[in-house]
Amino acid sequence: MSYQVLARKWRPRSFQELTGQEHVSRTIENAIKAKRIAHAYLFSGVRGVGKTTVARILAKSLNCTEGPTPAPCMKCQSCRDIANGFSVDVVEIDGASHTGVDNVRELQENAQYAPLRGRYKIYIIDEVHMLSTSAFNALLKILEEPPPHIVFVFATTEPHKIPNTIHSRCQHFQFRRISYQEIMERLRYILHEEGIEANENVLSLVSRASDGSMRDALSLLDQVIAYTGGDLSEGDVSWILGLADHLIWPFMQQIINKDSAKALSLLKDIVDGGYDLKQFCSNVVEHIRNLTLAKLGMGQEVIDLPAERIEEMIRVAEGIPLEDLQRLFGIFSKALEEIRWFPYPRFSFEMAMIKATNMRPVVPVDELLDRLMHIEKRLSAIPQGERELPSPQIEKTGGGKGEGEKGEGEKGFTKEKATTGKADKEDGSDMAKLWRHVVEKVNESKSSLGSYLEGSVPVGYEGGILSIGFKSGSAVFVNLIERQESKGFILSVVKSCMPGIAGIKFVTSPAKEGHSPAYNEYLAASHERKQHEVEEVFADSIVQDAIDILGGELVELRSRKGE
Amino acid sequence: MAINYLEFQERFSGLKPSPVYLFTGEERFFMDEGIRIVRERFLEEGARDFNYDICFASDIEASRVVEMAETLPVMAKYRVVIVKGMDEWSSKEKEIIAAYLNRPSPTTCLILTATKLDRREKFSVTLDKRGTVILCQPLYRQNLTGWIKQRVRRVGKSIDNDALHLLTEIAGDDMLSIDNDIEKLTLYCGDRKNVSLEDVSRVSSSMRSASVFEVANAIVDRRLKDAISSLKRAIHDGEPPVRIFYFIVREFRMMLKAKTLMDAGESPEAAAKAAGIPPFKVKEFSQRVQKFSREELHKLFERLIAVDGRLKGGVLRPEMVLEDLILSVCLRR
Repeated sequence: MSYQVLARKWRPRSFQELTGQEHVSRTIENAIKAKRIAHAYLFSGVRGVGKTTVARILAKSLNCTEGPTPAPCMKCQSCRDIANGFSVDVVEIDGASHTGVDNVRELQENAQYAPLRGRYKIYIIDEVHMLSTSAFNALLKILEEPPPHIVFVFATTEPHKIPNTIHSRCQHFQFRRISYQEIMERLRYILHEEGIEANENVLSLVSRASDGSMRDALSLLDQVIAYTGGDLSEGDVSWILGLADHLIWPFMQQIINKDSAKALSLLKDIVDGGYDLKQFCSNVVEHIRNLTLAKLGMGQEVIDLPAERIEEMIRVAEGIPLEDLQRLFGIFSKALEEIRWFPYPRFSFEMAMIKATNMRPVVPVDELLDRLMHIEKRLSAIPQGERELPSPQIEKTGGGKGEGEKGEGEKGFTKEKATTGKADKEDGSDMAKLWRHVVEKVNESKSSLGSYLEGSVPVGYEGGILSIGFKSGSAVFVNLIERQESKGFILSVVKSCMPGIAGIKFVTSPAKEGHSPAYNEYLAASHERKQHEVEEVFADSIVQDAIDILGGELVELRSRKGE
Repeated sequence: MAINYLEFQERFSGLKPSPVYLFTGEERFFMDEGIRIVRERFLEEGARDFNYDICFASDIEASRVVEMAETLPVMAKYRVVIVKGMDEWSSKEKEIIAAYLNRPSPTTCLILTATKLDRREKFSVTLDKRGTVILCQPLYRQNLTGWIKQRVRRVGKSIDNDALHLLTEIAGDDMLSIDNDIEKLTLYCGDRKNVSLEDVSRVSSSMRSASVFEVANAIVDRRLKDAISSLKRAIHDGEPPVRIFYFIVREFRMMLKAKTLMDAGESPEAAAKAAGIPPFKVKEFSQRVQKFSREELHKLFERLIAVDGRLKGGVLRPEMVLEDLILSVCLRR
């Protein structure tokens, strides 16, 4: 007998053999038992998940001489005819090539006649969404008043293209993608039955490449078996499938080790090996995603990999801070976007890689705040006029406001700075620092806009309006920035970094050394307020008690750190 | 006479037979059911093939229908003639039917359906006088739950409240679809007497999958693992990522709406109600709202816009874009 492809050879013949569609098989089995057969079923789902298969099993169940039964005998004339595609009472129509109203009219006429052998006449219309509007209207008439011996089964990959009038007269079953685990299990079973050896990693590659479709999985398996002659190795399989999976681990290892040179040479191997760079980059992103989820304690329910691979992931992820993983995800997903448009995808990928290997470790906000406090303390000794270095106060980042989570006991110490009306946090150098922060943020989201802002400095603050000065030669930038959407965007960033500022103004006069009188006044007021705040906290009874009990000394006032 | 469908359903067995019944309105479920009730009363199953005609107004002339109606029944007391979609007829054709109605055959039950009917037409006036007009309007949403309970009871089962809520969320208010879903659900349950939330989320995938709601709920509760795993389920169920995203946005939009109202001095209950939350979910919802500041929600919307762009125009797999969103919301980054 000629060779039959795996997908056909192992097509399920009964509801019990069906994989991954328990909600469908159980409901239909019960319907057959209870003799509550609907006139029309609509099966939807991606390709290769069992729509036509279920339709055929249903046809067998209904017309089996021992039935209607959820477990057709497979031996009687009717069951055999249906399995071989000879049954006169089961009509399979390809909706994609019979789209016209005439086809449906013909069906309408034939449908009036009783079935020849079985109990039911079953029409299976595949790709039903391809029917024309008038064909659908004709179909609707049969659906509204179906002869009692008729059962329709419509199968489609695009249920939203079916008119609502048809849809609402069908029992709709949405077929699920078959999960990675279920495909693995089925492949294991089939290979065992076929007497072919394969390790888990090979099966994993095939299952992942099939993207939830059993038919795809089996076709790929066929392809792989044909190529290797039954001796399935991981390298061969990933080569046939065009996946550079076996290179991802070594590549990631270099990224984690921050070894640009080795990573670059690996990349050369990948490019020379003829692998698709976009695909590889996408796999890297997926790998980082898996590491992140593994680090967060998630396992096989969300990561489509064999158990031992996940354990390996968890071990590797232990050594990488979560923030770094998320940054890596950002870097490579951005690279993936760029590769699409950039004429030299290899270059963008290399740049992303270099960025990833040179990524500086994230300094925790607490530590940063400590360092800044230290600088500020040193600076406070110097009279205000002589200061050269900025003494920034870091804007609270992350965790939004976080008032809700504040412990009761801490309340006396942590004074949220009021942000009513005026920006009362900044003094001159703070302002410069904050403005730099704004420029960085703008740079992150709109790098072209950010570049215009390079070299600009805050020069004044009056009535809630912040003036930003540009060098006299930068007039052309100012014109560009003044455009509505650019200015609006910058303002939104300013507002998020410097609460209390209501507007911004761009000036092209050379940045002056001094500030406007109003700004100096504002600085003085702000300083005074800060002083007042310190006194207030020092006078607090809880603070006093703490000093008494712990025998301490009050050195300085800090605002509470973010989450 | 004209009568509302529910009233008709209740009183039909006690009413005098009418030579013509016209079902008009938008609720096709009521029309189908009404036709079935009338047919069962007049059509004798044994002689069905001789005494039953069904046709569509678009395929047949009114005079032919009159001929059918004037034919005598064979071995039965009545004939039943059904004409669907009679609003497709011209007023001239309707006149022919009106003329028949002035001298209707006492042994024929004529059933007509029309989506819309001009009540001022001469035909309608005659119909009002001679026959029964049944108005089939869709149920209001608040009556829908009672109706679902009743349908479930009919097959000897009961349904939990949260399951009921989810079912209406999923199936919308198309009664035919809901009825199909109920049929599926009760079949899925088999011998079990009670339909639970889990059953609905497994079976009722008519247009939307229940896991979509789970993703949205988990993300607003910042339950990271649940959000990620239900996202995976939703994708497996064949949900388009854009729709999953829509439901996440919807959840946050309702929160922002409620938050804004609460900041303006509304009570949490009133705010939740105005945001469209069903009464038994109000408490849970207002607790949820407390966990986000308004500023946070505003910022989140900026992120949502970016995610929208990446979903529709990016190359990154959509489920990863959504996972990234989940991570950032749940880890507050």
